[in-house]
Amino acid sequence: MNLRAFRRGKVPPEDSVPMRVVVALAVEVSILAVIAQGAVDATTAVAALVLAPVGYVFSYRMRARSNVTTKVLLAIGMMAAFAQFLQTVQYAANVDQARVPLGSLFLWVQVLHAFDVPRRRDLGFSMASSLILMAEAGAISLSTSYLLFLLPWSVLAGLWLALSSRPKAGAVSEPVATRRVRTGTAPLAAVRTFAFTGAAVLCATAVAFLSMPRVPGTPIHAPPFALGRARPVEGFDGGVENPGLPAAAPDGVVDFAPDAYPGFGDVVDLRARGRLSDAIAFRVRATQATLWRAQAFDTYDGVTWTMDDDRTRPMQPQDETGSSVMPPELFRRNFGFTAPSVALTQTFYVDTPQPNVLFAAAVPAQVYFPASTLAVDRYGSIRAPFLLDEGLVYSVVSQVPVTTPELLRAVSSGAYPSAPGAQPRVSERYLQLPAALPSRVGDLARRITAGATSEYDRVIAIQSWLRANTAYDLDVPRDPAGVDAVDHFLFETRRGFCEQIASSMAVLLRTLGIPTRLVTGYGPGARNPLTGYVEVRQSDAHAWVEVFYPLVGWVPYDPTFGVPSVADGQGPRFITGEALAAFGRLVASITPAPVKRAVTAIAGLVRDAGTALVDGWPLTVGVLAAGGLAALAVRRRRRRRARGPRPTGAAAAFASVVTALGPAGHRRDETETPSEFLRALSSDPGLGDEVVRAAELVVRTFERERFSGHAPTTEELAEADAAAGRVRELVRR
Amino acid sequence: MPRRRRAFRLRKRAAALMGGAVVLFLLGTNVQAGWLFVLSALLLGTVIAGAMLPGRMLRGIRIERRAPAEVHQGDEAYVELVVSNPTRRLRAGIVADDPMFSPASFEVGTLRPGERVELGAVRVAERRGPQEGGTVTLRSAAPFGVAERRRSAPAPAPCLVLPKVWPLGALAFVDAAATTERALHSAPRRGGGPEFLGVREYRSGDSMRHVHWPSTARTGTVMVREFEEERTRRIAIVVDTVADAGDAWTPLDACCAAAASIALAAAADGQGARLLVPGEHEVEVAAHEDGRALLRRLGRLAPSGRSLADAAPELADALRGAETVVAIAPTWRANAGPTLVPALVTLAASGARVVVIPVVLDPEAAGRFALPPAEADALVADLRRTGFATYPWRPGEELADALAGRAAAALDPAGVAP
Repeated sequence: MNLRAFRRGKVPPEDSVPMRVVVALAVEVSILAVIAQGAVDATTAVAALVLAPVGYVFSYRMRARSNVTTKVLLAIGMMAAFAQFLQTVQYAANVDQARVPLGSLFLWVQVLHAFDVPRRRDLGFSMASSLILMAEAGAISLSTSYLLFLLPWSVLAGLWLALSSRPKAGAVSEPVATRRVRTGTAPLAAVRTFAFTGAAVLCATAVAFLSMPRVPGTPIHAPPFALGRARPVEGFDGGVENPGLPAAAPDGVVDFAPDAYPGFGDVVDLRARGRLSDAIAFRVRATQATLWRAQAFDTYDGVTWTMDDDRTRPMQPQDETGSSVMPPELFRRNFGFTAPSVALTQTFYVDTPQPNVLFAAAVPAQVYFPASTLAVDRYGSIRAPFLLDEGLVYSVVSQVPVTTPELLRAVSSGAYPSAPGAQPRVSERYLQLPAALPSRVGDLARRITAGATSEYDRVIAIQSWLRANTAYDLDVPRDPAGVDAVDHFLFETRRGFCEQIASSMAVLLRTLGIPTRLVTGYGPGARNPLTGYVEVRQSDAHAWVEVFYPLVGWVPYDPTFGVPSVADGQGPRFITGEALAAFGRLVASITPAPVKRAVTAIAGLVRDAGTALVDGWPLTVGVLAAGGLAALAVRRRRRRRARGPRPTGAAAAFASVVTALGPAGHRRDETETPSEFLRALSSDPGLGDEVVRAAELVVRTFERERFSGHAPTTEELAEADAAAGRVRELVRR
Repeated sequence: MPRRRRAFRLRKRAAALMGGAVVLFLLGTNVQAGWLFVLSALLLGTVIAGAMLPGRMLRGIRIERRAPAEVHQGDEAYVELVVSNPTRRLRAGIVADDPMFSPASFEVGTLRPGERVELGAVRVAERRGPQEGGTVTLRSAAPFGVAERRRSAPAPAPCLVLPKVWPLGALAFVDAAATTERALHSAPRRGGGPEFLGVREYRSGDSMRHVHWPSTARTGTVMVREFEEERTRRIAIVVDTVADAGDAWTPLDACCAAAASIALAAAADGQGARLLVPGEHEVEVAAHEDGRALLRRLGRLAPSGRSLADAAPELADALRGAETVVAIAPTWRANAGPTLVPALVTLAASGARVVVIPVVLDPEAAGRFALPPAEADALVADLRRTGFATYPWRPGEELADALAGRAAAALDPAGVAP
């Protein structure tokens, strides 16, 4: 048997060089994308980048041969790559550590496959594997920089689809002669078509992307963790280390640094001022963005918040999963048993160095972290023995209480039945107030909550009042010495940082006997719709309040921006809102300030005009109707002019014949003379003699009228009209 | 019946892309990676755009077909497709399916604005008869090959496929005449030929069969038809048109090819040939036509449903003056010995010598309406036994050989040949 015929069957090799070049480039781009995500080691990366193009050149040269030896060698190479993968992956402690060996295996498969792609179908497999590599890179990409690879790969994939959709050799007949004649010029036609196709794909992709429901996936049982640089905290005893903070000012206040928030440490000073940068602090993979809690403070002295009890206890390691869990008594201290809760798994990818506190949604239950000596304080705040440096990855599974107003009203009014083993009444430390706190603060709290009947209603009333009567402002001057920060904020400025607003809420509630504490951490951030990760920036560093409810535990309240409901991320949802918000942020970030002001002014004018139009709707409707009628009239007039005068006499009969015969396959060309048209009719046996005879009468009359200089008689015109009618009737039949 | 092709069709590639999109969506859902949703949407977007764009690629395209006016069956013909793009947009990925003579597809490729592509191809005219060429189907799957759009456009290119003609040389049953000029062109004179010349008043002795009743009714006087004298056209070719079967080389094609070849060979010998064909209602007679006209008539010949036996009396009437009658009939069951032989006897009663060419059918190709080989042989034997010069033309045999076989048969001492 002819080996080549057996191997190839009837499928000829692919000879198209452009198609092979496009495939090779697409594969190179996908390899680069994987390398850029750090998914392979350097040796594999360089080898893949060099060997893949060599493989495609080799395969092109050998495309018509059986290549049995090559196949055997490739099979051996595949087995070697797989063996190497198995050997490496057995030491992986978790899924994340298997990433590099798996990425290397994919790359080697792709590279080896490049040496044997003789047919179009094999090139298709190459494109499919390049898609897998792109998906691998996309799955581990944390940033929008992946677009740098996705865009060229998309263009190359589109080119491959276009090139490979041409008929294969042998699928169509070969003409014996081909001639191309070009009469017109449209130099940009190809560019226009390319642009239109790209725009169509982009629009369709955008619609598909925004229409895709985001449903909760299978919970990851062993979330990833990985160590970046490890800068240990010297003499770690459970304390918080925040090395990015600047030195204290002469008055002893530690202000904000662009990449360090003074709220992480032993004290929160309400006199601190400054601005944080917009650098990304960390990215979070979670179904729902929420407040990322770090520390809690219970003691207020009129200027600062501190912790009454800063002792810590070690987290309990879980050998089987490599994770640590919070000691049960501490967990019970922070989490009630009555409220329903959802388990929220979060994975944090640190971008900017952070202090050694772990950020997590409240209440963290289980932590996957590359250290076994984690410490936790009585407020449920977790500290690591080293700083959270760039590249650190850790995961936390939190039990987030999902509360309802009805539940909180019931438990706060004492109407809810107590359960055995339920949370005890909270410590008095959460009601502590400075002795010098002016009484007008308490008076204000009582005035605000005058109509409230339950503890919950009082909390909501205070929060609403603060939202309505205070403003978030990062430019307020430092408080004068000797004043109570909350009193000064509530009665003098009513403008300030989130720390002042949150402190005011905590103090106002404490004057009413409601246990509260100040919490620092990061705000929810914004989800990047492309990466799917929640991006939390340094400027999202935030302070808010936790209120204690019997049986439920600590419930967060944020009088500055509000608390997102974690229940929103538990069911199917659409990303349209987040995508539009991200687009808005992007536009806002690149638009110069003068343009923003101009747009705002124009928007105001349009709004005013719209209001006026709606108010005076009869006039609006009248003007619109008149405008529409005028436009219609202009359009009709233009059309009439374009058509020219209506034909009369024999010309009308001829026009009628031409119109009637068009649908019958005799569309008259503009350059065709009436006689040529008639000859074409005569040569069509399907038309019938009667039609041809009648058409001939019309044509001859028309020619006489047009060319002889003697107008046909009335009888002749009548005959031509009648003949045209006959043609119409016969064709209709 | 061929399956009608849909104007829009998704290709396998669309299914592959959608499958990939679903897999990426599921992966993206499980690992919560937004880029996998983007990739999934990109694949879906490509399918959506790829399904919508091919329709634009065919918009405004014009197609024209050029083919020779006449061609002989089995010969090659140069057919040209002209595809032009009068629009101001690029048109890409165009393929033209042309069913003329035999279905074929041609890649037109990309047409720039104002561009025209002329594709010439050599096609074999396999079917006899008038051909319009059918509609040309344009299709495009551009830009991504995800879906295919089709549009059919009429491209009339009338072409008459004439019967195949073989050079036969001198025919054994045709006597050479002095000149071919005399055979083909001569002034008509009144006589007993088959061609109608006019009407005149009845004279004593005129046959009542020649009374022209419409004129008699109009004038009130008995009028009779007058005929042209038959002088040189001494061969009459009778073609049986009772039925036909098959797609390419059909029994009727074979009959027409035999009739054309014999007529042209007779004309070369100076003999005029008269063609008689049983039509649906009456016998069609072609007597004055030159070789080309005769070929065109044979090219257009279609099955009439009327057998030679059914039309025998009318045929006999139209055979006046013919010296030789060549009857060409396929071996349909309708032409079995008991039917065909008496009909030919009727023709022989006109005084002409009857030569029969039974076109022996292949039962596998012609179906159950064809005589089985044994019965076809019996028919040949019957015809010879009756005294007709019989030249059976068997499948795969050259016509010239079949006609030459008569000489061999004549030497047959068994006396089977006439």
